[in-house]
Amino acid sequence: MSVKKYVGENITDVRSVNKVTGATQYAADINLPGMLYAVMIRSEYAHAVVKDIDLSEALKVEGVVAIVTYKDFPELHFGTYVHDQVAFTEHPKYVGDPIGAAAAETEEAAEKAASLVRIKYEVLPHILNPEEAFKSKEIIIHPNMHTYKGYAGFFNFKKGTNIPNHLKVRKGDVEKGFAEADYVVESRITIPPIYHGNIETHACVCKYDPDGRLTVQSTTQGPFLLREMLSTAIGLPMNRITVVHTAVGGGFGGKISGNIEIRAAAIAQKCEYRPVKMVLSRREEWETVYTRQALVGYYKTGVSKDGKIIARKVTLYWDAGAYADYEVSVARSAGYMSAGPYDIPNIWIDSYAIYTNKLVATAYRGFGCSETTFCYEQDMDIIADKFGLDPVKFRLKNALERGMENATGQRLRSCALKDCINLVNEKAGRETKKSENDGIKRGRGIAVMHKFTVHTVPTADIVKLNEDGTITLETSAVDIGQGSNTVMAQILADVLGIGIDKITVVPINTDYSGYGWQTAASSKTFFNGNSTIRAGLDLRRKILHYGSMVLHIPESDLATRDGKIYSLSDPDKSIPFSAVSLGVFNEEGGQYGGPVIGYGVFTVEDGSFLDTETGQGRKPSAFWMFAAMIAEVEVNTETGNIRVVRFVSANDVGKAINPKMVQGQINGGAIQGLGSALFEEVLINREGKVMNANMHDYKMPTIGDCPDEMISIPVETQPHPDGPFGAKGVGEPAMACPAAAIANAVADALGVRIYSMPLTPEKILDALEKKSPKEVR
Amino acid sequence: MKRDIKCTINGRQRTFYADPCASVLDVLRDVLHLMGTKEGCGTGDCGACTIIWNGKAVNSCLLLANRMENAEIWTIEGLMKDGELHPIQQAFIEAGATQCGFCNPGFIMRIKAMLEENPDPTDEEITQGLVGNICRCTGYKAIRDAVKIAVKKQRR
Ligand code: FES
Ligand code: FES
Repeated sequence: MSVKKYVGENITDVRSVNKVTGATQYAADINLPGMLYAVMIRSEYAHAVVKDIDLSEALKVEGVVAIVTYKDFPELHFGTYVHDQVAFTEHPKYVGDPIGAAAAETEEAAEKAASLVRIKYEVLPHILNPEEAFKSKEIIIHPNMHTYKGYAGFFNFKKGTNIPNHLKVRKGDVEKGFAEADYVVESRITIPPIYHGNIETHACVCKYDPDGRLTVQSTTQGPFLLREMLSTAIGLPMNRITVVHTAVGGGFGGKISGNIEIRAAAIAQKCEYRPVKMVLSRREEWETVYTRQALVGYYKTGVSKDGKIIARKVTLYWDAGAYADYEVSVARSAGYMSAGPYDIPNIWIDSYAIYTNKLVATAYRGFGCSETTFCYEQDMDIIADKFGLDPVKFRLKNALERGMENATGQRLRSCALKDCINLVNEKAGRETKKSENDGIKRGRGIAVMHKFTVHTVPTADIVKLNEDGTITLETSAVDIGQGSNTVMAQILADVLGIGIDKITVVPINTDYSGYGWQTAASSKTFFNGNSTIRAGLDLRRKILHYGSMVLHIPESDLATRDGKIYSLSDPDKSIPFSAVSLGVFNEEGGQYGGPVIGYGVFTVEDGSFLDTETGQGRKPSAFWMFAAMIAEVEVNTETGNIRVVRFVSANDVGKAINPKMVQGQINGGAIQGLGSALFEEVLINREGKVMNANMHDYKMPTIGDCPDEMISIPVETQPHPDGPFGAKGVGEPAMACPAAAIANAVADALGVRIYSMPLTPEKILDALEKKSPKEVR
Repeated sequence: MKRDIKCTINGRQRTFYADPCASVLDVLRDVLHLMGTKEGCGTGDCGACTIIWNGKAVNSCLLLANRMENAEIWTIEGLMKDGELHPIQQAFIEAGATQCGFCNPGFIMRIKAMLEENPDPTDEEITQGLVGNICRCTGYKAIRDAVKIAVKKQRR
């Protein structure tokens, strides 16, 4: 008997009808009776101490209800990994650092009041360059860093410096490796900060009840992390805080940490138990909230004559901006994968998170991957060229595969990197059509990558059987558009044996949903997929048990299908799920069972930490993802303009639960990567102010920038033994290869190397003018 | 100064009291509570606020409310008919052009105006028509596919 299966099918987004009709509620769409509007009072200087603050004019504005500053609010330290922030600061550390907030009956009144707050500063010297901040003894941005609380493994700070984290990897003998090498290549990369570019800006609504309970509705990727941060920052126990996430209009890492919610909640305390809404304008979002970190990195790679990489040394300076937020995690994880997906016996990595007086850097789709790939994959081509090797064959020769150990000593249980490389190579075809017309040069480049995920973030999911036999899944995964609601519904439908239309997935409410850290690290399919399976199995076990009591058939002869419990030996004997939803009765009318709930948790039981001295650990990541991409470009040698004409991508996903959604991730990541490669750059002036915080001066890709052809292949040759149906993840790897592949394609077209993102026309023309045919830095 | 403004919105006559110098986007959202039209930038650069105004797709964040007087306006809320999705909406779902969904209303309105003028656009015309709308999630491929699916559906 064939049963409809959902896993592996292109099921359409279960929430899409609301999205295309404009009915989806995002945080800015929430309007509540009596609602007030709050606006932040922000520092005008990159580094200062507030000497005096005068609210008298501001308080006169009609409609103002409350103004709070650091003076009115306890100095409770909070943070994502390191508790280095306070809600409002007396010691601003970047232009835009919140000093206070104003709330009023209208947004205009709140804005006016905020603008009338007079602040006297003592301006301190500031520092914007991470390499300078690394060495600085004079300017220490967080003098009390050593007193902060932080997560072990993420807060390996150096007292009296601007360095909140230092990740070390020491494997083999790197100097011996270089001594034995026949060729050594060295390079330096610089990557500017870029924006997440979520079209929906940050927004939230906070409300206190007279009994002291706080409710926060927010566009967040991590309701539980937000609750934890609120609890620390506001000093409320978690049971008094409810966080509900609204629809999220794009996250990409930028909505992972608590930020405006903490300030809005702080001022809401003074707002007569009325709801307080805070919505950032595009300009405020981009001037003051988050970026992807800037990076300065150094690579040195030693290769033997036969084309084996034998040593690699990497030093990375990640520019955290004013607070550590996610950057200590970036330095750690991006650090340990920075040697690339290659089998290298001798590795030395130093990866530092560094405070500067810039706006805060946070997690960003695949943090560290696209940046370091941009460097090591260009080096790979230089080496291949040096030895006259084919770039594809050279990568295949060094690529990691299943069973091998990577840089941190983790043995890979699923690795389809070679399949990815072979597939893109095949699909791209052999010949590159060289066009020399009108100064247009064509080139092709390949790039490959690997990406870690997490291991210390348990998930819990709850499945409820409703009285009519339908199912409600209280997922702990936040669907930020990647499709986790649909993927979880597909998985659950197959586990339970019920039509997907009978399942509703509801968003997280921290009061009753199971714990789920956040949507991050391409982890949701794997982690929540597993806990959803377990919750489904728990529910199924119960309904089979109760079904057996009703049908008087042993459980071993029962199965589920189409929302029914039926006998395997006599399929005509069946009852619908609804028959057991409230329990079953014995002959005398005693009730047994009762409202049926399935609960499932997932943890990585065999995970391990990293050794702080060597960076070695058996399993710091639940799984590893791999990808390869070939890009073809046309470069106009007159104007320096680059046009990407073709992307061919293959991503090692283990199993595509929903192939179309996987392709959606690959395509979206490719174009986001294209933007960072060609034109995206946050420009910050010497005073630390952002110069292009708007969508015409900060250009993001439009449909006009897309290649004519995009081929995206989910690779399923290496299902992960621990993955749900073998699945791993895809969201972040999708963005890792484009910049490197484009840079290699440009080098192929022009014979010049550019190690600084983005590849602007000026850099191209400049490099061409210098006419050093290779390795233009 | 606020005054009465009269226009047709989604096929219905409406009179409302609003500041003629406010943006149409703010009036739609704050006065008429039509929250489907989104703000991504407020400066005419992202297309999230696209509506159809007198037959043309416009960025409602740049249009002043006095231009609503006697105008015929369509927003995303007006597209469903008798409980049925508009073919462009259906096409978005089928093509997988909805990820976070925030850009969708703007794109859908832009595409509606585009197809009314040119029911069978070429690839280049699609690019030209949609270059003012930004989507950060999909990489545009699914959106282009959705336009093609919608063209086929509307031809039927
Ligand atoms: S909000 Fe109107 S164009 Fe962006
Ligand atoms: S679907 Fe998210 S911006 Fe387009």
